[in-house]
Amino acid sequence: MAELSLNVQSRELSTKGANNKLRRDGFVPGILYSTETEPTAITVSEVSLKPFVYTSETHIISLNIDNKDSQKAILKDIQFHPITDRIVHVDLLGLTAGHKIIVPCPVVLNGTSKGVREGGMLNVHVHKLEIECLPKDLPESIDIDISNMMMGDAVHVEDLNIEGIRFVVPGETIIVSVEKARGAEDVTAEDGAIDGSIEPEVIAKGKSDEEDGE
Amino acid sequence: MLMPKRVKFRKSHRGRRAGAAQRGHRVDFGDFGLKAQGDGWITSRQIEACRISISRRMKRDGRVWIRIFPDKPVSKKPLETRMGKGKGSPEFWVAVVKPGRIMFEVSGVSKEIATDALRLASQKLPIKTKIVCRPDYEEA
Repeated sequence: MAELSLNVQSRELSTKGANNKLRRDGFVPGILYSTETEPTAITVSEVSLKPFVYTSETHIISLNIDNKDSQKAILKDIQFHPITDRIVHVDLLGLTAGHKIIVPCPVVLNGTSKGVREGGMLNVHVHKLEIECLPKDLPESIDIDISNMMMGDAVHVEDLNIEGIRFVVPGETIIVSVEKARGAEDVTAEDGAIDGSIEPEVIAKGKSDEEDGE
Repeated sequence: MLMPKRVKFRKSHRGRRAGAAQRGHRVDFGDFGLKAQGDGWITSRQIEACRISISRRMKRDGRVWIRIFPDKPVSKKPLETRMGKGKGSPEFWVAVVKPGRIMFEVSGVSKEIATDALRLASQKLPIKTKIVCRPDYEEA
């Protein structure tokens, strides 16, 4: 697991106006919490935060708070602006030795499946899996060998067996599957109604045509 | 074309489209998405036109997700009709789209093909859009 450092500053004012000013100045407001300490409101530079956000890897972050305290943490949650996609807020979870954490871990597929070579389509259902483990056991990624996958095969969560890790999602969750390519499907027409004039069935309460008085 | 199978009421009010999309504003299923930058009504015909152009550009490779559904009926009065005498009859179906909404998602193709397919789809829409990708997307 890669460990990178990040400088953060504690912040006192948590009003909407103060946070918006921070965002205008190129900073991201956030919060640092853990099981043992009180939550701390923090600020982090948007530029220095980007390598942690726009990546498929999960990092352990070595935090330098006000260039004084040092603490290990993980990125627990990121909020994006719905229109601009800028980072609006971050949640950092401080790590405590001996305490298990739940984090999303990236899924890495190795090899090319036999089914794909035969004309099938690789369908990746989940890109990240939530796992529960001790910080020391946190893997960089969950590697899955797909080279032996034939057409119609699927890898489920229950097929994975990694020591020291518990998967939070149900065992029957499909991670990756090889399906028949759409090939001969007609692009021009979708199944079902093609004519837009067909009216849907009205459930009981709606006015009928006679009552409308058009 | 997309439309509901059953509805509770045949006709609906126009409504308001204030604010940004509060849900459906992240790429959740595929690798790339087409995000609305404005608000509008997207008709089932426009959605179908987008789907066809994306599928054609991707040469039926990869996968396409349509993240909006036209569940709102739009009524119209017949031509040369005097005002009054009640609301017109339902003519077509629209999806209400607010800024930030991901309307289409694609995966299983290269970045070039995906962006080109979504660009072609955006030309069929009456609103400004932008092409986005998953934050953790890394090209293989």
